[in-house]
Amino acid sequence: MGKYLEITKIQLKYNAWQHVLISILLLAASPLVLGISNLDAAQSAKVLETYVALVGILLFVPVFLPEQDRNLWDVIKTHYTKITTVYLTRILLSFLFSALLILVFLLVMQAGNCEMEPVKYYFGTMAEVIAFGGLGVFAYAVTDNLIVGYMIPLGYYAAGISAGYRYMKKFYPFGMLTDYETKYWILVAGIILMACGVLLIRKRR
Amino acid sequence: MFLTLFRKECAQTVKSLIYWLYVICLVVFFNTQLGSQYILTPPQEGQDSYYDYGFKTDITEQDIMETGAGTLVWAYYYDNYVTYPVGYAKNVTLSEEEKDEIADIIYELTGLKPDEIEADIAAYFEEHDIEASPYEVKLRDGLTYDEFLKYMDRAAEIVGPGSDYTEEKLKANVRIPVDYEGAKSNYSDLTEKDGLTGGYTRLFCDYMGVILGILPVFVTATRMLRDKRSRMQDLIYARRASSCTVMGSRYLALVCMHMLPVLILSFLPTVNCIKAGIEGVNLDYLAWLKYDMGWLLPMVMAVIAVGMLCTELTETALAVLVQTVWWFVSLMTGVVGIKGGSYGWNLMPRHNTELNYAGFADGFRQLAANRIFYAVLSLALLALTILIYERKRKGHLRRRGKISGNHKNSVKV
Amino acid sequence: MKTEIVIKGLNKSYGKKRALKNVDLRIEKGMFGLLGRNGAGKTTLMKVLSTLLEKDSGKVKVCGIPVEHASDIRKITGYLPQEFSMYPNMKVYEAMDYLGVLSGLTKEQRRERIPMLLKRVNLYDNAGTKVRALSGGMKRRLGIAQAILHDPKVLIVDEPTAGLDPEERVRFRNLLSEIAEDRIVILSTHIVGDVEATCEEISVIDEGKILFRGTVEKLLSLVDGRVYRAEVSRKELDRIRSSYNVTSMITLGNNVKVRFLADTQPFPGARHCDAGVEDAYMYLMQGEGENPCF
Repeated sequence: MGKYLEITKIQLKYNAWQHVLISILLLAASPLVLGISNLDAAQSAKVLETYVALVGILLFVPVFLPEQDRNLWDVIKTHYTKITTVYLTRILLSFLFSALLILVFLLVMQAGNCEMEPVKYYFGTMAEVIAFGGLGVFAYAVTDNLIVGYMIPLGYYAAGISAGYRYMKKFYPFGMLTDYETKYWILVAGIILMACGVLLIRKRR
Repeated sequence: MFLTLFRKECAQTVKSLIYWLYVICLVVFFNTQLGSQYILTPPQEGQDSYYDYGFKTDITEQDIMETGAGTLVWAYYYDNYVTYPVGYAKNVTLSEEEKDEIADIIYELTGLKPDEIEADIAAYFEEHDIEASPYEVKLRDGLTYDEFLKYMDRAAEIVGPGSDYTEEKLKANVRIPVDYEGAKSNYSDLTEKDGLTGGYTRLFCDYMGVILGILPVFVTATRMLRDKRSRMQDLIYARRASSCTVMGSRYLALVCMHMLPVLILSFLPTVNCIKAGIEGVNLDYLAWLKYDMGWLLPMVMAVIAVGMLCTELTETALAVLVQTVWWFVSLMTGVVGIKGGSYGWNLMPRHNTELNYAGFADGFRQLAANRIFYAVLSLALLALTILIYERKRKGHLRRRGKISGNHKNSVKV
Repeated sequence: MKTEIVIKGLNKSYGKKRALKNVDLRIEKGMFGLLGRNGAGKTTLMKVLSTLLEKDSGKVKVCGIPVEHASDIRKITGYLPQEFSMYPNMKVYEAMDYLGVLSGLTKEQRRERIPMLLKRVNLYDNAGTKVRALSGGMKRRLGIAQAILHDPKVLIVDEPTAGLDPEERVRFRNLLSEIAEDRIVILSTHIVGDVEATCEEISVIDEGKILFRGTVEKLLSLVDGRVYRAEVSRKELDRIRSSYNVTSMITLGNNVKVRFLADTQPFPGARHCDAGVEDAYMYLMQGEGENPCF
C-alpha cells in the first residue's frame, strides 16, 4: 500500500499538479465562455460534453511523460516495482481527479438550476473523459510522442463537432441526448485503448 | 550555412511521422469540405430560388431595423436569448421584470403587443421560406434609425455582452436573399471582379484556415522538443552556427513545409474552375498563389512562431495548450463574420462563401492590416525565440543539473 | 596564436552555491586531466570553457580569445558533453553531416572529413546505422568524432568513460591520446585510472577549488614513501581509520587489506609500498592538501 501512496505522492509533486491545475483553470474559466446556470437539458449536456470533458485530454495523456527520458526508463525498468503498476496507479490517479473535478462542476451546475439527470449526465461525461484519455494514451504509446498524444483526441473532438452523429455512429463523442448508447461504446473503446497503450509502451521501450 | 541547414531541416520534417499526420489531416479536411465542390453557373431568370447566389450587398437602414427588430421579437417569443461573449453561445435567462422591459421595447419599435406576436410570425412565414430568410417585422410608423438604435442599446444592455443588438451585430445580421437581378449582379462580381477562381480560392482559404490555425503547432512543438529529447542540445549549442541561423533556418523550413501541401491543394479549386468551362469568364490563373501567400501564410507563420516560442521557453507541450485556446476563441468569435467582409483582427478571418465580393472589397483594408500584423507579429516572436535560444545557449534559463530533481525523485519509485 | 588556455580568478555560482571558487589554471598542448568527485565543479568548468555557461567573474582566454567572444571560441573548440545523444532516427553519417553544417563546414570539407573521422573512431562500417541502434561505446566514439569534426584546437571531453566496459575504456583513452598530439584535450573524470594512464598534466578539483596542478609524477611525490599496506582484522580497522588516512581497502573474509598513509612505520606488519595516483588523490581529497601545490 505504501508503495502506491509513494507513487501517488511523487506523481503529484513532480508531474501531475501542473495538469490538475490547468484542468481546474479550464473549468474555472467556463463562466467567461459559456453559461452554467439556468440551462435546459440539452444545453447542460452540451456544456459537459463539449467543454468539461476536455479535462480527459489534459489529465490522462501525460501519464507516460516522466519516462520520456530513455536513461531514466532503464533505471525504472530495473526497479522492483513493475512499471505497469506505476502506470496503472497514475491512470487511477488521473481518473480520480477527473471524477472529482467533474463531480464538483456538476454540483455547481445543479446549484445554478441547470436541468439534468445527474447520474446519467455524470456517467456520460466520464465515459467521454475516458474515451478522450484512452485515445490520447494510445496515440502517445504508438508514436512515443506526447504531442501526437494531444493531437489525436483533439482531432476526435473536432471530428465530433464537424462530422456529427450521422458519420460517427456509435463512436460519436457527444451523444448524451442523441443516443445514450454511444456512451457505453466510447467508454469501452477508451478502456481498451488505454490498456493497449500501457501494454504497448511497455514493449516499446 | 543557412541554406544547407534549411534543406536539412526540411528533410527532417519530411521524415517525421507527425508531419505526415498533418498532411493527412489537410487532405481529409479538404476532401470532406471542398472535395466535391461544384462551380456556380450563371443564374437563370425564373429559377425556384436564388439561395445559392448569396445575399443583397447594398443594405439600407430600413433593412437593418426590420431584421433587428425581428430578431428581438423572435427571441422574446421563444424566450431564448443567446449571446456570444467569446463566440461560444451563451444562453441568457431574463427575470420577469427584464422580460417586461423587452416587451415594452418591442411595442415601441413595432407597435406589437405580446399577445399579437405569434400571429405576426405565422403570417410572415406564410409568405416567406423559413429556410431562406430570417423573420422580419413591420416597424411602427415614423420610427427613425436613431430612435431604433437607442432602444436596441437598451435591449443589448439587458441581455448582456455579445448580444445581437449592438449596431455592429445588427448590421451583420441582415441577410436578405437576392432576387434575379441581385443574383445576376453577385454572379458578375464573381466572374468579372474575382475572375471566378478568386472567389473559390477565398473559400478554400476560409476552410483551410480553420485547421491551419492549429495544426502547425503540433509539428512545430514536436520538432522543438526533439533536441531536448534526443539530448542533442549541448552538441548544437557548442557549435559555431549563430542562434539566428539555427532558429531562422528551422522556422523557415517549418513554414515552407507547412505551406507546401497547402499550395498544392489550393490549386485544385482553380482546376475545377477551369474545368467548369463557364463562358465569358475572365479567369484569374494565379489567384491561388495570391491568396495562399496573403491569407494563409501569415496565419501559418504566426502559429509556428507561437509554437517555437512556447516550446523553446518551457520545453513542454505548453504551445499546444496556448494554441488550442487561441484557435478555439478565434474560431468561435469568427462565426459572427462567417459570410465575409468583417475580418477584424481574427487570426482566422472568415469568408465562408465564394460570393460576397463586395464584402471582401469593403473589408480588404482591414484584412490586409490584419495579415500584415500577424506576419510582423510572427517575426517578432521569432526574434524573441532567437533571443531565448541565445540565452539558453549561454547557460541561462535552463533547468540546472545533469538529471533534474524531478527525475531523481521519480527514480525512487 | 599559442595553443593554450589561461584561467585567472574564475568564479561561478548557481544561486547560493558556489560551483567554482577563484580558479587559476594554465593548460597547454597535450592531454590534460581534470580529476574530482561528482559535483566538484568539473562540468561547470568545462561548460564555461566551451561557452555553454557564462562565468560570474575572472578571466578566461582560449588560445588568446576571451571566452566572452562565444562565436570565436566555438570555432576552435570541440565539446563532448557528459550526457548526449543525437537524433535517434538519423544515420550516423547524417548526424555527422548535420553537425558539420552547424560547424560551418563546406560540402567538400564534410565529404572529406566525415569518412576520415569515422574511420578513425572505427565507425566507418556503421555509417549507415541509425543512431538509436548504437551501443554506449559506439555512441561515445561518435561523440568524439563529432567533437573534432571541425578540427578544433581544443577538445573538451566531460566524463567520457562513464558507462563503458573496461576494454572500451582503454580503447577510448588511446583514441584521446592520439587526438591530443596536436591540440589541447581536456578530460574530466572521477575515475583515477583514466588520467593515470593518459594525462601528462593533471589537476585535482574539489568543491570548486583547485587542489593540485602538475604532472603525474609531481602528484605521486606528494605521498611518495608514505604509503603502507597491511592486512588487519575488522576490529583493528576502526583504529587505523581514526589515526591514518586510508586510501583503499579490500575485505577478505574477516580480514581487511588496507592501504593508508603514514609518515613513519606505523606498526609492525605494515609494509611500505609504491605510491599510486589513487593514493595521492585520496590524500588530497581527505583534506591534507589544504595548501594547493603548484
